[in-house]
Amino acid sequence: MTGGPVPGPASPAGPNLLSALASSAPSAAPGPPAPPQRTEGTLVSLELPGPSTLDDLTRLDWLRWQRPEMGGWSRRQPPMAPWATQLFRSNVSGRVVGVLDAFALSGYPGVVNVSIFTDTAVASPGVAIDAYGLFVGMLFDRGIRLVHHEVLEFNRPILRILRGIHVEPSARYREHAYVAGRFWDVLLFSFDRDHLQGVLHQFRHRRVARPPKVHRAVATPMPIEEIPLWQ
Amino acid sequence: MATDTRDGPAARPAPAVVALDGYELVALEPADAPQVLELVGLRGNRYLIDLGASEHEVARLIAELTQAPWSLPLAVLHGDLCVGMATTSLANLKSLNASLLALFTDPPASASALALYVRHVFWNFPLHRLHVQIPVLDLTREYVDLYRSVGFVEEGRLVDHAVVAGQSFDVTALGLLRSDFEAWCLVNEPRLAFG
Repeated sequence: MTGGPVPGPASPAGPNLLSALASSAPSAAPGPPAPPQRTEGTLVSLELPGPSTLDDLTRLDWLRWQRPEMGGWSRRQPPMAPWATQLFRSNVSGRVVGVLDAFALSGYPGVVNVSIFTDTAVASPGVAIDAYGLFVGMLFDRGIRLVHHEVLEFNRPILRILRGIHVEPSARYREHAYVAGRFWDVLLFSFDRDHLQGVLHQFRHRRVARPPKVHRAVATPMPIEEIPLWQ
Repeated sequence: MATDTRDGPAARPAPAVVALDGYELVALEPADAPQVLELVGLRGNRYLIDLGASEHEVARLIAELTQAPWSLPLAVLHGDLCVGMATTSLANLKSLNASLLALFTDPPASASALALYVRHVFWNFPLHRLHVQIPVLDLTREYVDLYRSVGFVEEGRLVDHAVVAGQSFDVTALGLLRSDFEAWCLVNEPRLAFG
């Protein structure tokens, strides 16, 4: 699974001018001071990057920058907080298979732009969703108010997954990103903790529960069974 | 191979336009910080940007803006009066876009001034697109109307992104492509067209 912010020196969903300069500090609400070094999930474990995983992070970034759906070449920005970049490692193979990043959305306190990249050559089915759930849950536990996504219009895998968790685009920035030789539209999504809990509740009771209310959207959500759990 | 330096029927560059219908664009300087703060205090302007109350801090921000790529902080004069200011910021050099903020003393009457500014931005920089975000409040509705009046298109909302007095509000997203603006000029204000 891939998806995330369109790279560039400024977030395409940035706020009005001066406020971004005025609020260059991380905008996340205060949370527990020390992030855990490792968070266990069902299929993967999240871990903070360190000297022993520097080569993994470099490899993943190099792969990410060759993927049009990730926006092409960019540079890794300094993390907004120590916990804002996390690798995920397969519990089966023991390999690092992806990376998650949260970037403060300038001018909007408590809103973070989340990016996930999975090396599909080595990741097994379901690991990206497992890692994403762990990471987003951690963000809300740390006081983040909204998770925000900016997705290129042709990134169908992430669009299907977001639709599958009943998050519909709330805006479409026309020709906002230059990728693979031309300008493309960028779709904007966001959801809060209540929405995530509703989705998790549905997953746990998928055989009997009704779909949760779509987050400020008008489109019919894709049935959970259709979510492609292929990476 | 020799370079051909003969005169030919090459296209002429469009001239700069910094004055129109009594409006004039001038550089916004750090020394203008008191006027900027006064402008922010009018109508719904404080919901478009929170600059605090420190003139020193605002002066510093203006100085930073003047150094940022593709930033164009300008004041809009009408006669001797400053009736507005505008600037681009947060330029994305890869995707050729930038954020725009404009503040006016009378937004409903400022379409010409805003169009003049936008034209000068596209005239100066190779931007493909400008974008604006406006919190959805009664007091800011006039700015959405103002941007639409010069060709901006509403592209959706950022749900609950803005927080005002502890309450969350949606933010209206507007965008303007260079081609949008060129078409707008041809129909609405040929004096600003690039020719």
